[in-house]
Amino acid sequence: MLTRLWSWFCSLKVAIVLASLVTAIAIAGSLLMHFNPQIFAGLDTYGFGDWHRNFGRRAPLLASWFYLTGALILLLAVNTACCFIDWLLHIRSRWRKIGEYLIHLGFALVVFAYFWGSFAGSRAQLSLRPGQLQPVAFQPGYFLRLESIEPVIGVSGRPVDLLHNLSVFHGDTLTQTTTLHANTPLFLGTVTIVASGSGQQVVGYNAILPDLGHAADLIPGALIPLAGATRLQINDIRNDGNNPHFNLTLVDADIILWEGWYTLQQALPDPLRKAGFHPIIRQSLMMYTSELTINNDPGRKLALLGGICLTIGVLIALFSFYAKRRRGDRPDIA
Amino acid sequence: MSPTFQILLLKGAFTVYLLATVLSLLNTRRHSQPLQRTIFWLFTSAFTLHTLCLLGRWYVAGYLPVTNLFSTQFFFSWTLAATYLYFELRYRIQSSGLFVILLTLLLLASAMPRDPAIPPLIPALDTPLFTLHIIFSFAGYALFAMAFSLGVLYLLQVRLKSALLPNLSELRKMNEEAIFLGFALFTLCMIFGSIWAQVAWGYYFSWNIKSVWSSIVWLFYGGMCHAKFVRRWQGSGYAWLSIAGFGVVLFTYLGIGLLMSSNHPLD
Repeated sequence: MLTRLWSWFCSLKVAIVLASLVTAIAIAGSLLMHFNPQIFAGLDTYGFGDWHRNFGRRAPLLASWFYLTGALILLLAVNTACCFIDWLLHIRSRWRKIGEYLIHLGFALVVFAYFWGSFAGSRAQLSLRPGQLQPVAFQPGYFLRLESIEPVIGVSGRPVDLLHNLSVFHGDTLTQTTTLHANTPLFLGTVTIVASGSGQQVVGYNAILPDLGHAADLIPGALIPLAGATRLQINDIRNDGNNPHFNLTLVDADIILWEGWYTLQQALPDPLRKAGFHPIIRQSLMMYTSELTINNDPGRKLALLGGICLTIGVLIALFSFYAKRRRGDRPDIA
Repeated sequence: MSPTFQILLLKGAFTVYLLATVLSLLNTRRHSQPLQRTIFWLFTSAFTLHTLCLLGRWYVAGYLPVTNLFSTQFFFSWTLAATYLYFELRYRIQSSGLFVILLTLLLLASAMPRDPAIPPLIPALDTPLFTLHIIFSFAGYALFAMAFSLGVLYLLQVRLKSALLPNLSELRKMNEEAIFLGFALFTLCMIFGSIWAQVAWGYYFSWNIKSVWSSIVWLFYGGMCHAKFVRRWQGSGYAWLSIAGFGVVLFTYLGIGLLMSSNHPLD
């Protein structure tokens, strides 16, 4: 029974049937995929589990080809891996086929790695302002700080690329500095970080202070002189729709007169009013941000190993093909 | 190399290919050896001009210029011509490669009215992985086109049993070689494409129609490399598969590139 099962798993005909089925289903399914981006576009953004929960489960009929193709590909990879193991067991008599069987091994490794990465991995977005330090998703203890963003200007005078200058910290220790741009990612353990573009974030507001007769930039860290010797420190700003929240500290010399959150829609606290802080917002202050994609793929290194096996296999198979042709070693003609 | 000189080389190559094709068509009836030698040397001369033009454009651009429809047609036609020469030198296929010669001519003819100007390279394509991906991709496509041609001839030969065509055994042998070499080179194309995707997007496989169809092409021809060991699929079955496979290749290259939005646009 076991021998028969093993023979079935190593069968050439099973491989051909599976490859044919995958090809036929994927041809039809790819068209469904292309014309239903609302369901399938998420495949590049989510792992398989999240995609199934968010999209696949909602359209089971449309998504059925995807599950079927996945199952058949996995079976094909198992079949290919079994063929490789069977070849290893008979390597003395079949060593000349090393190239072909390395291709089998490479394919199986890539498929297993892809399934591993798609089920155990996940993807996240990270938006960083210059100077901002943020933890790296899926890599506990690692932090990224954006030092600067510089556009690369093309011959047409337009920006064609962005250089994202980053510092990588492990705990408090700076471990490396790097620049992300097109085709230049950052590899950190199982994580690949790529620059996916740039965005803009509101970092503060420019406001007129009519009681004091001047304007001021309300940005975190700013210290604004008010009436007399009082000063207002902007500690933090948060945006809730069009209603910014300011975390402020009003000081006179070293004495804290008032501290707390203030929103433009609420009445001005007395100490702030007395100090002449009655802001009228003129405009938002924007800052470019670095938009990064963080892809956690635990199967990446296995896939690379599969790719190496495939490449070496192809090169050996090419060489041995001509050697076999010289010897007349070809399958019989029916 | 000036654009004028590039166009001169291109037109020269086209004219000589055209002459070789006309003579090839004539030779399908006469089967004259001196004429065949003339065709071979004409084709080699045209290929030399074609190669000079390609190298000149590569040198001027600083990268392999295969970034728009003109340049992909130009490069695909070059790989087709190289494939024909490989089979001609190895097997003396003569008029059996007529389809590939015609396809070379057709691609060049459809490329010539387009703007041959080389666009500046965008940073996303500025990587050796792009060059390797492109070279192996089109080399694979060209070999699959040759397999198609040999498949058609095999089916014709089954019916006609003509002395003008190579015998069935030879046609099958050449077809298997075209499929195997095409599969091997297309595998390298897929590997370099995947590495490129990993460094560009952070993942090595994207669920877009081009990647899915490239995988279909790979699986199809991978299956064909196995099918030659199954008696039922040898001979005519293999020839039909070669024809069907080229349909899949054409859709992957032209159908998706021209009719659908993908991350591999042709224009």
